[in-house]
Amino acid sequence: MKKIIAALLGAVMITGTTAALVGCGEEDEGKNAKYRYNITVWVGEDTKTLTQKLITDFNKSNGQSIWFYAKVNEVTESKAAGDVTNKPEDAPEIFCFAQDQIARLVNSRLLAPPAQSVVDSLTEINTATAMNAATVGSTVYAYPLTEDNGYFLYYDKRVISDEQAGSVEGILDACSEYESSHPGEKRYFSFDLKGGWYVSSFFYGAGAKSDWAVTDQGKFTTLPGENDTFNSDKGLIAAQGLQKVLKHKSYLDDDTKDTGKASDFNAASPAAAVVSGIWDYKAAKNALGNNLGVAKLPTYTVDETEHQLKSFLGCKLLGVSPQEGDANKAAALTLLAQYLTNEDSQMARYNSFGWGPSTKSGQNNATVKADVALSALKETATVPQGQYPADWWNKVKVLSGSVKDAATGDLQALQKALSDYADGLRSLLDK
Amino acid sequence: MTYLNSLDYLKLTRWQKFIYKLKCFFCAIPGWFVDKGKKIGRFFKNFGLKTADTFRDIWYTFKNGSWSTRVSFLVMGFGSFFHKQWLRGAVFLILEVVFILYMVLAGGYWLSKFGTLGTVQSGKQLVESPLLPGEYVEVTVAGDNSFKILLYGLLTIFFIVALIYTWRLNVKQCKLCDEITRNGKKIKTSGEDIKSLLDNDFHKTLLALPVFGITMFTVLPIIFMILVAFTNYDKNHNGYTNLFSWVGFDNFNSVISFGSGLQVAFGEILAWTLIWAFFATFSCYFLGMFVAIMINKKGIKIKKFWRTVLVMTIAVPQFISLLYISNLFSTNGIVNATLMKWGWIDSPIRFWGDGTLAKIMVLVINVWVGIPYLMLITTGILMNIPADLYESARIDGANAFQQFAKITLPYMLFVTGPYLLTSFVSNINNFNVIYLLTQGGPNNYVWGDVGGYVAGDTTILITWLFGITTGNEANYKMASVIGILIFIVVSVLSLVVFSIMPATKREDDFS
Repeated sequence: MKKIIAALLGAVMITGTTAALVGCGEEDEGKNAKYRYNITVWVGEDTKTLTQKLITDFNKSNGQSIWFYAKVNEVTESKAAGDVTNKPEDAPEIFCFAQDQIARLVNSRLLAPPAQSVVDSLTEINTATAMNAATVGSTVYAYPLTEDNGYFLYYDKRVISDEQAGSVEGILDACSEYESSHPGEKRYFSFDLKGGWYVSSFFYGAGAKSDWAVTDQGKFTTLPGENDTFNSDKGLIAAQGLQKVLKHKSYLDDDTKDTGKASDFNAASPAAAVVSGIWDYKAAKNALGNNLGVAKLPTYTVDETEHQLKSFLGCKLLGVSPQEGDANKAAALTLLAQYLTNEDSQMARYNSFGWGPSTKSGQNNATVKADVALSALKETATVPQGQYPADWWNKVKVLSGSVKDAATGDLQALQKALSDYADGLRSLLDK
Repeated sequence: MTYLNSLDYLKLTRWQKFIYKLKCFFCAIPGWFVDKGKKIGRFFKNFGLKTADTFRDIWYTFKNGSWSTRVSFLVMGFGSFFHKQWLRGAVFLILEVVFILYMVLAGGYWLSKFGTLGTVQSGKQLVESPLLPGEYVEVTVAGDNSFKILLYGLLTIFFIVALIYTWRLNVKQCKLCDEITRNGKKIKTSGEDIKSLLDNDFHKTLLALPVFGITMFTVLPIIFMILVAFTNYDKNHNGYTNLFSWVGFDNFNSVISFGSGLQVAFGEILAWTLIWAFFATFSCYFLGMFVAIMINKKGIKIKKFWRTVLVMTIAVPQFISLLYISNLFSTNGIVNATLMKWGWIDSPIRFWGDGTLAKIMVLVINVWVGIPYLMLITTGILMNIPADLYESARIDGANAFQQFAKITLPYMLFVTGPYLLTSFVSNINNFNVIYLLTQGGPNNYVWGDVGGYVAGDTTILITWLFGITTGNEANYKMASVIGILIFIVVSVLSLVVFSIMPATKREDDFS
């Protein structure tokens, strides 16, 4: 009996010592660095491993003076800004967010602008569109991460011919034709026209615009005035085009869930065409295989005039939280953020996830140029996305809803929806 | 009006009786208000008298007390020490010392800022760093934090109230000790105090922790949330980088003031919330009872099987089954696809696209989710109804419906009355069913954008609240206002229903 106990104790001791030794084995590589910081980094879905690798590379590359012990979490870009604004004290040191949130973040003073030399190098390597996205008022507040936030057309070649894919009418007709030749089946055009981001394509397509001026503090203090022409003849054309799609029986109208997703290709009544962005390329490819067609956004026709839908072209950005008092940490974070968004890091992201780079060199890269999804986006007429008040998107959503609710061809009702939109803009101003 | 006696009343025709009753009802209303008013007046009068009494008592204690008692007014616990009640004295003294230290070190700051919720905005500073030679890096300089000021200020107020209460206790103690010594009796020692805490006063020992916990984790947060309704806490004023401040009743005004878009939306959403809660509660209640009665009926075979089939819905987590159902019925979902394949319909039915249809859908699906619970609850109760009641009813010639209306239903209502009330209240706040099925849609564009959220036809108050806090506007102030209004609605309804419920009234005569 004693022997057994002794053996057990021995075993426990050996295991314990081994465990302790293993613990010691994780040698602190950064112990010699002069500036050592524990930081939290929020990055988009699936990018945790790559980011961790990039941070380790950064640690090793800067001559052992800065060393970051980073905890990398995956927080979706669309959600990150909201979380940071709601709990500013728990904000991570570095986070990634979608461009539409930058004004709100600056207004809440949650972004530290990069130092001048970093701004210079960012301007040098990135496209003007990307730098514009990272700028609020006249101050650069963030680091461009991608330039691929736009949308184009995915379609099912079995239903829609390449020619039909060129126009909204062609797509909708193709769906109807398919239905009449296949009784009992339904094919949809899935385009999320509940969201302001997508609805705007009709208005910009007709030549209307909504450009807002924002102060350096991220505040919207002046109405766009004549820079918002949604409520105009052009806007009325857009509204008619929009209504035509919204009211068509082949348009996928679903009030409770978001449409315009590649997963609609797999629905019980599948979509034949989906308007979405590069993030959906893999899913679309999986759903349709070789039958997948990728094309620029279609046109729409009102009063026998064709108008080309125009997508917003936006960026994903990387931001650094302001640091309290510690200038060295702030400087070190600036350098890390610059590293994470430099040409090589952006190419690494393209190679791993297909994210379109915002750098000039990246966009000229032969592989990037040959990318099916990115070139479809490139061919699509785009409008560089400016800065908008956070609730502007909701106003456009309501506008689109009112257009849908109006009777077909009732120009007066459409006009009223437009003027309601224009009247509501005043409430968006920051006090 | 003149009230009739019973004989005169019986002479009236049916119609006249009705008119008479109606008259009585309306004539009683002013009296009811006067009665309530008197009650409130009495409450305040009593309250005033009690407060005056307390002050008088404190004054007399000071005037007539021994010198040790008088010192205790300043140095808490001195009197207890003097009477050799070391434990009590120490507790009083420690509390006072801790309080003074807290107020000097932190409390004073929080309290002084409480009136403004902070005045010093955090700032920016350009500093040089060796990491970026020859350049300036922006760092922030900490300022006030409205959120913390509100929270810690409130905590400080709690602490002050607690201290005043303890101080009063301390004065009372001294008075008691004075009286006991005057009468030549023995004062409790510390040992006896401890013993009594484990014996006579054991309830105090037991309740100390829960009371503390409830104050800190329930009462304090609730008051905090209520206070938020009186500030401008939203996306533009997060309290940390942009301070927020008191705005009085502005937020309430914007919800209640007539003609504002918010007011219209609020009214309609509130109405639908109540309709939803009413139908959701009673449809589940009666249908659940009906199913239970059916299964309990003699002659029904494999009862266990039927029960199991129904209870299966409970086995799948609600949010999964609801999301699944929501997808089933979507425009491009499997239900529409199948119906079209069979040729029953030419174009898809937009189950969630039409306001009325969506409302009916959520109610029906809620029945499917809710029936099993009701069936389980009622099965037990049904089995307990004495069979002889039914037997005698049958002998008297009552049909099945009469039996149900006269025996089963009153019995059920009596036992499950409180349950009905709680389920009504929880249906008012039934976030799951509504949000997972429709997300509050179909959107109602007539209201426009209410509080930073496009609400819809099936939006109930709680999903609206969720929408405006998680939306772009992070509208905490309005969420708090809506929260308070929900509370008022729920509490008024609960009080009224509870007071007319049979379960609370006829406890004796029902058996």
